[in-house]
Formats: sequence, structure tokens, C-alpha cells
Amino acid sequence: MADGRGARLERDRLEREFFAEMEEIFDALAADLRALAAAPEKGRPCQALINPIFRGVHSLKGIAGSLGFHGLADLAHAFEDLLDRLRLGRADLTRETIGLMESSVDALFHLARDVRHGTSAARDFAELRARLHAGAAAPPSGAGADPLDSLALDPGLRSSLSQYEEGRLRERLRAGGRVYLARLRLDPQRFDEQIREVTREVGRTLEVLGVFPDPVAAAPGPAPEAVGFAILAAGEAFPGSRGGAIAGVPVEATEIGPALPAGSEEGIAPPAADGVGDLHGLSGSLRVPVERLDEVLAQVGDLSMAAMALQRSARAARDAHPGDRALRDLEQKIGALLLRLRPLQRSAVKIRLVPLGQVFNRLARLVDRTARAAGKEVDLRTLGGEVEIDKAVMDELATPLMHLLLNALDHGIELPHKRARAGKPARGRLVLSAFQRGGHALIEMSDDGGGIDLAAVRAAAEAAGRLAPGAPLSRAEAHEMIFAPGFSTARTVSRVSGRGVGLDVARRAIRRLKGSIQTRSIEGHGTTFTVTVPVSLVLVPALIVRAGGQRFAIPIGSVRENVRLEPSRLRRVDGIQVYDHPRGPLPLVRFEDLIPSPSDRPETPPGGYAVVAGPPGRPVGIVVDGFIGRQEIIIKPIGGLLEEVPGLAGAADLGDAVAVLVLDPESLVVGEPHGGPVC
Amino acid sequence: MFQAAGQALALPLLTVVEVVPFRPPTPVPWIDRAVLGLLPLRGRMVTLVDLRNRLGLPPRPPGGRAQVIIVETPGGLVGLVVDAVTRVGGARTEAPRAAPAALGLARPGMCRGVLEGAEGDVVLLDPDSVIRGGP
Repeated sequence: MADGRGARLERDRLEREFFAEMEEIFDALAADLRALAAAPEKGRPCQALINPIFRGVHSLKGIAGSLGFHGLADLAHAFEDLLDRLRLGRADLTRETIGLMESSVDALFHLARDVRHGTSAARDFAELRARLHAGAAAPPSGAGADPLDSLALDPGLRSSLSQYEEGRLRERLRAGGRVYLARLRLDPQRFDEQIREVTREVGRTLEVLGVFPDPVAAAPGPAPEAVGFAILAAGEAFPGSRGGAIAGVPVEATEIGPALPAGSEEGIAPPAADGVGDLHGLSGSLRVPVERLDEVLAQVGDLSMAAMALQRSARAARDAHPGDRALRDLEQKIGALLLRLRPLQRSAVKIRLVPLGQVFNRLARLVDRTARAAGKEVDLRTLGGEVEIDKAVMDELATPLMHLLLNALDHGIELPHKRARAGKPARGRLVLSAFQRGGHALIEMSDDGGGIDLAAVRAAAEAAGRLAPGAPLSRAEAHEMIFAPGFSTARTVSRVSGRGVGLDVARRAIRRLKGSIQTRSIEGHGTTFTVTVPVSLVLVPALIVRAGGQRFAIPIGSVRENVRLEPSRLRRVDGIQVYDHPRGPLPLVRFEDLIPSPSDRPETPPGGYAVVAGPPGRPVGIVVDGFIGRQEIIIKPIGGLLEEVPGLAGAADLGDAVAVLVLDPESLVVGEPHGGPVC
Repeated sequence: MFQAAGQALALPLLTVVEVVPFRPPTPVPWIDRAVLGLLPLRGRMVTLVDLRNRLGLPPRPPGGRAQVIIVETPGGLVGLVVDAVTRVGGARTEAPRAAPAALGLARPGMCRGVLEGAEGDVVLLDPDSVIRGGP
């Protein structure tokens, strides 16, 4: 049956992906174990190296379990138990334990390979499992009063620490290390990237225990719109001076832990020995750096251009000798070649696509941390993580999605007691889902919190002078108002948000991606934000038009409709030509008015059509003389000197070595038609 | 080393990618007169800048041949349109000496100095300020 076959194919694909992931985990485990084994030479095994091993085995267990490979899952589970006790400091890490860990990874690897190749699982790991259980039951060494109480930690921060983080802190204090809290002031548009850089820098000399939201002190002064985070780290010395900047970010670090003489662990020596287990790979997948893919894409594009030029020559030759059969045959063959190149080009673009699940995972971790800090309980569900978008789009999406998430956690989901009063379960529910529609991906962030409080929005708007007291405010207008820069309904700035910056930044970032965001909210029940972004910014279906003696390309996604201009409906208003469209007056844009024309350009008759496009709510009619057709184009960037030019998305080569300007109607606004930029 | 309006000029070789014959570019709206437009080159877009215009020299007579010196910049590829490229190579002097005011170039800020070439003095230009249109 078609169904059965489809399900089998799906399962095969899942298995292949999982084995690819397992292979990566085994590679990482091998490296981590080598580092762990080398650490004792420094004086003491480094506890923090256990954590990545634990995570790797935990993931392995999950994958094996979900595929039904129970032997593998059981062994991984036993191993995981031991690792868990080790990382929480409840079991001793000795050379013997490390040996046991190496044997376990080896065993897991061979089991996985057996499963992959379908060879019968003749191996029995009962003895190994017994040893793992024994190791996991070892009593911890040392106990006593909780050293964490001696730290100058803000109670809110202290309560949001996870069990693992507390374990690490205790371990560090026992080893005589110092604990630092570094406060960062970050740019709201790049805080995600900045946190990563600073964490990496700090991580060079200290163990980073956690990154927490840290409300920016509401002091007047430069950069009032900064986002605040704090890094908790422990070790010997803080890199650089404590008040200053790391990776360009202003940092203020204070020592909050006991200043005992340091005896902390140093960096790890690079591993020398060979990897664990067999060298043959488990799966058929590859990881490739993005630059290499871009090269391939550029080369495929060049190939297409060359083939099209060849086709033109062949056509010209055939036109010159119409009866020549050989030339006709040549032209046909070249046409066939070109047909084969289109799918190649599409494949090259598809290679750059990555699953949204990657950004969903990072958001899940943020939800965990932030909800705890705000004293709220939240469950996050994600759906559609397999939907794929271009890597460049994904990289830009992370920050706006984070802002939306922080907004949902702060304003949306209520505190547990408030939820109970409203008859809702104490744990708030956040659903992040994605699905594909044509050339776009839709990402929905839905919470079951209190919804957008129209009264609160009105009050804040009136207080900020954005709304006259008593003036009407529709629900749609209120939903639009929350995105205004600097607008916030928060009476106090919380740990998480409240500055009025996040939603504005999020929407602008989404617009830069040529996407949009819609809001749906019901008071008392919750809010849903729907973010729409194109799957690829690179290969785009476009309408090719002729205007002012030149060709232009307009991305089809921006086009609302095409109208035929009836001369009787044209009129001039304030120096701008306007067309009386049935749906309302439409300002027109003509290219002849904008491009400095050389004196020898042929006079063109006034255009007969208009392409209706433009920013939401402000459509514009782009006057064209005619339509050439529809084509998938690759938009090339046009460089630093032309950055200031509004209305241009880039340029494309349609196949005849001429640059065709690609319009960006969303940034085209009609103004003065003569002299100076139309802006 | 190249020529524009009879003036002998030079650019440091390190920034130059290649030299191609001039082809009419696609004009781009709304920008200063010196930027002629865009030309595709092997999958990338080159922004053409008219060197005569930048230096305040009279425009090229119509029908004259021209060449484009392609330079890699942080913002992408830029092509400087000149009359003719005369040679590629070293100048006799190591470091440029200061340009005498008598040269009469309208934009002294774009010059780094004067080199001694095989056939006489050559004005060394500063690529960044020439491309950007200002120091």
C-alpha cells in the first residue's frame, strides 16, 4: 500500500538522521573522554568535563529509545546514572571510574554499529552494567554545611539556580576557587550574539556556571535601551579588568565568593591518542561549512549564465543559417542542457536549508531559565521543528524570536497564584510551532496567559501621550501599539523585560528579513504571534518588467496585483501622480523620474500598467511599460556604496550579463518625484 | 598606472583584482553622479565609479574607449572607470613625495602623493577616498 511504503520511507529517513546524530555524539564523547583522561596529570580530574559526556550519553539514550533499540537504551541508561552521580558530586571520579567510562562508550559504539548493520546483538553487557551500577552507588566524599550560603548572591538569582549549577558552585568553592558575577549591558538587536562572545571569552579562564537575565538599572544616561544579562562564573582570575569591556560589551564584574588561595584546575592539554572504537562511520551524512556551500551556489549560477550565453550564440547561428540541420540540432541540445541546470541550481539552494528545530532548542533553554527567574512555571511545546529555512534567515530569526518569548513570559503568562484565581492550571503553556506554506515559513508563538490587556495598553498610551484621553482605541490599534518603540505597559521593570524595546526590535528584524508578524489575542485567554518569513532570501520568484527603457525585477511575494492604467483615472495631487483605484487612491512611482537619464535615451511613452506593491498599509503603484515574464532569480548584494538607496533589494543577472535591479517595494515610499532621494 | 583626461595616475596594486574593458552599466537611481551603475562579473555585482567625475576632471568625450579597474573593498567589488591602463609595475621611487599644488587636481584629499614613473611624475591615489568620494 502507498501508506505502508510511505511510513517505511519516513522511518528510514528518521533512522538515517538519528544515526548521523549518534555518530557526532560518539565523536564528541571520544574527544571528551580523552580530555578527561588527560586531566589527572594536572593534579585533579576536572569535574566540569563530566557534563558534556553526560549530555551525550543522555541524548544517545533518547535516540535509541525512540527508535526502539532497547538494548542500546538500557546500557546508555545505566551509564547515564553513573554520570549523573559524578556530575552532582555524589560519586568519586577516580582513574578506575574513567576506565569504566571508556569501556562503556566502546560498548555503546559497538552495539550501535551492530544495530545499524543489522548484525545480531550477540554481545552481552551484563557484566558491564553491573559494574556501572556499582560505580553509581559509591558514596560521596566529604559533606558539611552548605558553602553556597556564604556567597553574596541575590536571593532571586540563588533561587533560579538549578541543582546542577549549585553542585558545580559547591565543588568550586570546595576547591578554593573564586566566584564572580559579571553584569553585561547588551545591544537589544545583537544581545544573542554578544552573550555568546562574552561567554566564550570568560570561559577561557573561568568555568561559566550560568547566564541569567539581569534587569538594567533604570539610570538616565547613554544607552537606556540596553538589555541586561549576568554571567556567573568561578575559577581563579577574571579575564581582563573587572570594570571595562569584553568583546566590545560593557562589563562590570564583582567577586561574590570567598577569596581563599586558589587551587583551581587549568586548561586541558590537547588529546593525543586515537579515537574510541572502530574508525568506520555509522551513517551517510556530512557536515559542511556554509562558505563552501555558497561557493558551490555561485559556481552553479555562473554555469547557468555561461550556458545561457551559449544558447544565445546557438540561436544566432541558427537564425543566420535557417536550413542547417546541424545548427538546429545544436540549439536543441543546448536547450536540453539548460533544462538540466535549473534543478541543479535549486538543489544548490536547498543545501543551505536548515531545520527550525535548531533555533527552537535554544529557545527552549531560554524559557527554562527565564521562567524560573520570574517565579513562573511554564511548559514549552515545540512542533514542526523539521520545517527548513535558509541558514541566513535562521541566524537573523533567533533574536526576534527571543524577544517575543521574553515578552510572552513576562507579560503573557501570569504568576501561578493569578492563574489559579482565573481557573487555569498553575503551569503556563507556551507552544512554538512552525509550518511551511509555499515559499514561506510560518512560526507561531502561542501562550495561554492573560492576553493583551486593552485597558492597560490604553492607560499606558494615554500616559505616554500617544493617545488623547477618551479617544477610541480599537483592538487592532492596541495590537499595533504594543510594537511602538519605547512603549511598555509594565509599571515596573522586571528581571526579564519592561523597557519597551523588545517588540519593536523584533518586528524591525523580521521586516528586514522581508517577513511580517501578526498578532491575535483574547483577553484572559492568551496571545498568539505569527511570524512569516521567506524560506530563502537567495532564490526568489520574481516578476520581470520593463520601465523607462530598462528591465526591473520585483519579487512576486511583494506584488499585490497588477492594474491597467486608465488615463481618465490619473490625476496629480501635491506634485505626485495618483491613480484612482477602486480600493482607494494609489500613489504612482515612475522610474523615468528617478534615474538620471542620459540624453540619448529613447523617449518612452507613458507606462500603461502599474504593479501594486509596497509596505503594509501603504501600497504604491510602480508604473511599468510592459511585462516580460516570471523568473526565479538569485538576488546579489549591490555593495556598500549603494546601501543608502531605498527601494532596492539588490541586482540579478537574468542570463545575458546585464545587471537587472531588483526592487524592494517595502522600502519604497513616494515623496518628491524630482531632485533627491524618494524617501 | 593609468590615465584619465591626460593625467597620469596610479593605484596601489594590492587592492586591484583585475582590469576589464568598459561596458555600459545598469544605472542606479538616486545616487551621486560619479556612480555610474552596476555590472555583473562572474556572479558578483560591481559598482562602477567614474574616476574623472570623482577627481573633478572633465567628462570623457562620447565614443571614447575606457577600461575598468576592479578593486575589492569591504563593501563589495568596485570598478573604477578610467581612460586607459598604461602599465602594471613598480615606480622608481619607494615612497611618494608630497604633491605640488601646481598639479591643479580638484580633489587633493584623494592623493597620497607623487611617484616617479618611467615617463615622468605619476600621482598616487588613495583608493578608499576615491571610492567613497571623500577622505
